[in-house]
Amino acid sequence: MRVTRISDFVLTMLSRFQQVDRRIIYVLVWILIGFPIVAPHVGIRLPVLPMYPTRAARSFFEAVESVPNDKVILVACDFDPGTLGENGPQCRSVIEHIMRAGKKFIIMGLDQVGPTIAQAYAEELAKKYGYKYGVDYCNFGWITGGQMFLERMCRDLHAAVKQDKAGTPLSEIPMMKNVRSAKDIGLVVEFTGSGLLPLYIATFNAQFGVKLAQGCTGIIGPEQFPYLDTGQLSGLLVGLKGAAEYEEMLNVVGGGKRAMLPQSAGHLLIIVLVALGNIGMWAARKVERR
Amino acid sequence: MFQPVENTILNIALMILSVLVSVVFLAVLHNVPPNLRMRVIMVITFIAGLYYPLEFFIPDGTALTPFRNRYLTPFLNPIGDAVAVMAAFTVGIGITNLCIVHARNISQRREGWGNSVVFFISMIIMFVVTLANRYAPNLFCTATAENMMTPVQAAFSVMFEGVYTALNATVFSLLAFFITSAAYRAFRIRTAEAALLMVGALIVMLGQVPVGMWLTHWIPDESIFRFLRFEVLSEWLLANINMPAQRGILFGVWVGALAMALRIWLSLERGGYFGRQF
Repeated sequence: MRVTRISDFVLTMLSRFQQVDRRIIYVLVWILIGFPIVAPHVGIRLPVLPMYPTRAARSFFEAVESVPNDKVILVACDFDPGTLGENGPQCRSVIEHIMRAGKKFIIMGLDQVGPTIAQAYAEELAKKYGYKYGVDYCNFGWITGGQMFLERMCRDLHAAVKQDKAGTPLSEIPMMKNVRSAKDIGLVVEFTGSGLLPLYIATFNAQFGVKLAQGCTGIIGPEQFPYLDTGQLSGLLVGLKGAAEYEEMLNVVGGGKRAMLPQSAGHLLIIVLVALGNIGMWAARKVERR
Repeated sequence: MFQPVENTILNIALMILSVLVSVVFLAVLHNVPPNLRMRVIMVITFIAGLYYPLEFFIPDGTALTPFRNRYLTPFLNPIGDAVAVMAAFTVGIGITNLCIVHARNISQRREGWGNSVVFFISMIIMFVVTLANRYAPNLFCTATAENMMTPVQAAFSVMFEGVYTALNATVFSLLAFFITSAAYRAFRIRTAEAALLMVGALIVMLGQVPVGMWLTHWIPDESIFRFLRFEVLSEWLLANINMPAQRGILFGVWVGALAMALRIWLSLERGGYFGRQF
């Protein structure tokens, strides 16, 4: 009798787990994600977790490495501050790799803010690698016109883009003298949180045979895998983990690796909460049956 | 073909003429009987859409190489420009629509009309500051040092980076809270399928973070049980289970899009914005 009472009490207590107040969940998210971010700044040392680059990330890395030195890399920054947390570290680490490999690159974006963010990364890294604007890299800024524009750009870059972000005519930018069309672009790397990849596939890749690699947010990651399998994508970085994998291959610590602990904590919290919710549901059913 | 006009006066005259022709054409179109209007729109839609099938789909004996030069290829760039100009008009339509909706909110003192006032103030300030930053950054004074900003540049920096960028990132950051709460509430194992989904989700979630890798990193790389590592299992699930499903979905989506494009091009689409007169 007593045992039944105790088990009833335990089951009743457990059943409460299926109705945890959302404010408690919000506070837990805030603490678990916030603590690993703040801790290093107040002198608390946190463990370093292992990171193994996936095949898709390694292919991305190799695609950048294999660009011939007489060709440029087009860095398409189709993201805004909403996905900056994921696309930002990806973009930064890839720009660092491009600079380390000594390749020239062009920044552009089908989103207004992306090219401005990438410009900030490039300016910061340019000091470290001795890159000069106009000679080693340039920025076309925000581009309108979607697929029609990309197609025109592939055909005749100077006819499609007259000036860079600052208003300097392309003819006055030294590195652009030998970059006339898609023939002179060795790789397009796109960073985005939305489904803009088909625009690049239909133009740069399908018509002009330019290699493509993408850094996307975790949420659209699964949608991009078919393009990887067909070879239309030469590499793929998915979410913050993709950025961390790239940093691992570059042997640097950036926004991706630093965010791995908070993200791990967030994922663990979700797993624990889902488990508790199911235990709660199971316990509630048991109580009902009795 | 279609080289840019270098003469400024001629350029402006042509621009005014094209706007006038467009206005007259639209006015005429609005005043003709609905049946005739529909037929005119159908013909224009068909001609506008005809270019791409003729250029890309119909073989003319020459190879469809990237830098080809077929009969219609010279029109590719001018048509691209025209599409870009039309796309720019949609921004204007969006702004006009927003202004009409919010002006109505204010004039009729609808619930939350204060938000509409905030909308107008924000839009006007951002518009003025962006234009000033672009065309007159030294409006009040010039910067005395290299890294110094003028008041106009500082105002733009505060508005764009300090307010817009931060607000945009904040709104998306809230997703972390909502997703956690929603996953907790929705992910209940009631059926065998739900259990399967849960196991898959668990593996992929753990495979996406280093803590998952850490949990199984004791399995040696050379071991035959390496496939039990979370990152390996996760990659396998994404590449072998997720990918065929995604490919099937994509195939369906694009076949549907092609059918939809054909229906719009041939004016077969009915209902919504297509069948009725507004």
